[in-house]
Amino acid sequence: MALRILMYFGLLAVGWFISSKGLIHNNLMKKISGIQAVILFGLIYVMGVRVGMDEQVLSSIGKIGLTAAVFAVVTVAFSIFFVYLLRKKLFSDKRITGGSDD
Amino acid sequence: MTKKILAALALGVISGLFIIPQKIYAHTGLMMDIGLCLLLFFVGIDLGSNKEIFSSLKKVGFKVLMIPVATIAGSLFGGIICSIIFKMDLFGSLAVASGMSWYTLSAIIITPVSAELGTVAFLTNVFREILAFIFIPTIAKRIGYLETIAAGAAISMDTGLPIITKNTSQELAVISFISGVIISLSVTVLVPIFVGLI
Repeated sequence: MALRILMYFGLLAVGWFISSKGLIHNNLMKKISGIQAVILFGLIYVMGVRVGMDEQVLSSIGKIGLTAAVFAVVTVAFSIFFVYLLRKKLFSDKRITGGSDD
Repeated sequence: MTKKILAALALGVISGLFIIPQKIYAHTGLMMDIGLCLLLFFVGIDLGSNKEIFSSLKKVGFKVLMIPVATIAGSLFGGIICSIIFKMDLFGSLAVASGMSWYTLSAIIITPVSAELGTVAFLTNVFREILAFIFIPTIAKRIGYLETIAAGAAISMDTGLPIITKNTSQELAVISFISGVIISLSVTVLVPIFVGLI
């Protein structure tokens, strides 16, 4: 896991370094958002393929699917709620908080 | 964006179920790794083009470290609620909840103790990752940027990072990565602790 984290950090750092030094051509900079979108949707598609092919998911989905779905929704909902409370208490910079003020 | 994500995901699931031969499965992990590496590199390029990111993060300071803490606390609280809903063993429920989207690891640790609980953990965290993919754009728009990290949890440092960056701000990319690393590390500690208490 440590190696994986280092690799992700390294990729972010290399991208940041060459971009901050102005080594990326302007034409490429303009296209980066589009390229990212293509790779992103490709990644989501492949993730879907993996779910569709995974025998463990398919064989267990009928039996314990509802339990797992409730677990997923409840844990995500409370994580979001706790961070929401934290944001209201500690953060004000709009570039970081985004969202609404209410 | 949510609709596009849902369409890509649904198309993938249908392809995996009916079209793509099973032997391809072994290569999909590599495909995802390559795609993810490219995306992280491009996120880095995006970050480098904004000179103000680090100064604005400096202003926020160590408070950002509270975000993974709140995310983890929320998940564990959700685990307690689920143990009441399903009348399950409290620590078993907490072990499932502390997987925080990292489905492979949580299931591997839990399965030797209980195969059924391990499968619940696996499926819960698969669903949690899918929920994050689908709802991050809506959460960013309707609730707030920091809450997208709570939705992604452990995947905020890898597969979730490009979606979070695309729907929030460049400052969030740095916070998301740091939070994702902390949450992932916590999974390796919390799941074995709760499994030991079952």
